[in-house]
Amino acid sequence: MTSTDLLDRLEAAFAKRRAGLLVTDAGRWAVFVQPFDGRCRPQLVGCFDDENDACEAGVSSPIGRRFLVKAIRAEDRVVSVPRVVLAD
Amino acid sequence: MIPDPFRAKGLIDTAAGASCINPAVIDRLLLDPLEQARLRTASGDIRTAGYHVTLTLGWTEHQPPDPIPVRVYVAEIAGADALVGLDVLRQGEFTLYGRIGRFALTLPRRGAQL
Repeated sequence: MTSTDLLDRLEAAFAKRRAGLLVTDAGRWAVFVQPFDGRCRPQLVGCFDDENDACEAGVSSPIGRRFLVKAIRAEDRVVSVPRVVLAD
Repeated sequence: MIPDPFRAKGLIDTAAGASCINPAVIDRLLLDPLEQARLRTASGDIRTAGYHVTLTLGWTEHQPPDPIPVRVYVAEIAGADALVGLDVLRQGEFTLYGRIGRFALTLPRRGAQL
């Protein structure tokens, strides 16, 4: 599985749980880890008030190496960076 | 394996909502993305990945400011390795002295009041 595929998978796991997480943990940071066994689905390992704590939890998770740290919001934030111009 | 810190050229961009780095820097630091995100650029919206890094600004200073953990997004940046956006600037004080064409950026340093 490519890195992009893994990220897609982690994002999909978050998307599936988003509605429920908004009820219990809106404004916090969710951590999903992809287990080493690629056949398993990504697991939610916890929600954290601090982004750095969330990243630490992802790094130190024993169940897998790749993880997602996502702010629990109704919609994903769109970041404005006007300076970046796409090549033609 | 933890790669060595990478000294990079950064551009301060007061119009950037978040900081960005070039793909080559990501490759060098062997980072894995933490999320997918959407960047709104002058050319339109692009899908990109977000990474968690630690920035230390003012590398040449004897006592640089404290390292700043920040989420950065991958984007091609002309003329620099990194774009320092409002997410970093808001952690300190940024002052533009327009008449003399200079600026000052003061960031937190352990033990010092800002």
